[in-house]
Amino acid sequence: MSLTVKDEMKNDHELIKLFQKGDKDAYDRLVRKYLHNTVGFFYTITGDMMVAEDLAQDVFLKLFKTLRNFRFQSAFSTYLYRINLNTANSWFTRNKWKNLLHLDQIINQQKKDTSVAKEWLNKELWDAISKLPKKQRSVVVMRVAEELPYKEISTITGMSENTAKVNFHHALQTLKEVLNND
Amino acid sequence: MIEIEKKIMLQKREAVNTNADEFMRELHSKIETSNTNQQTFFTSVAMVFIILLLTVTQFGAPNLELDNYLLSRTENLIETDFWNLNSDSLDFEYQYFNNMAYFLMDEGYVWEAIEFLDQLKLEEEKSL
Repeated sequence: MSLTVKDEMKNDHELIKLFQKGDKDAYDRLVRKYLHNTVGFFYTITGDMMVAEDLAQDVFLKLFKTLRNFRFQSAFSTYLYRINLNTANSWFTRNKWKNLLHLDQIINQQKKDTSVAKEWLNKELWDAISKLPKKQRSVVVMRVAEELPYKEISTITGMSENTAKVNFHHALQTLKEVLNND
Repeated sequence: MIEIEKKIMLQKREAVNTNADEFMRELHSKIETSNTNQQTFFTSVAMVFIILLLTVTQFGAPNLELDNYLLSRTENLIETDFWNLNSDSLDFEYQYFNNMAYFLMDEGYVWEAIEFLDQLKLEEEKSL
């Protein structure tokens, strides 16, 4: 029997309440539940499993520290998406210099062939996304990596649904220009 | 659909195969390290705070003003050290009277100082 969104939310909230009362197993269950989704999100962005797992660990570490203050005003998944997005943005910022210098691309260009064409395309696209302004980048990341509807993106990022749509449109225009120039 | 949208649509999430047990073990290790680091940080901050507090309040420091005064002004004034007890040289006597006179003047006992000097004169006359 599949659980509805409300049931899921209730389950998550119950687990969080248990964790707040000191039950560490509840935290483990919560992590295991969202583990693959979170690692998958970062894998889509980074294209590197090791980096994706490291970032996912950072997310769950932040979660461990902040979950005691969770106020049950939103779904846990929204809360987790927000942490994911912030961690992704931090990662983009950290890699800014590397992306600006195109260090990875120089190496990859040498071994570029049809077998890695898709990987190359992904890298090119994510490098371009990383250079977008923060708001546009956030919307694109949530749309592409999580395939979320605008309504949920607006809840996570705190912008209105229309603003999210406009930001996504502007981001597409910018990406089109950048990738066509390359 | 424009080209870029096609590219983006290709970015479908690939199924990831993460070893959950391994991941959880590493996560718990990180949490433990983080907790230890946090404790170390708070202990260090507390120690620095205590040291600063002791430095600012000069807790346990001697009252240097009084000590220095006593050291510089009264040391050997009343010569009770065993190597001085039997000493009765004239130089020593003069030094003693001079020191005592300066001390009394410093303390503002002007009349007492004059009286003391008169006593010195009397002693000199007696000795003559």
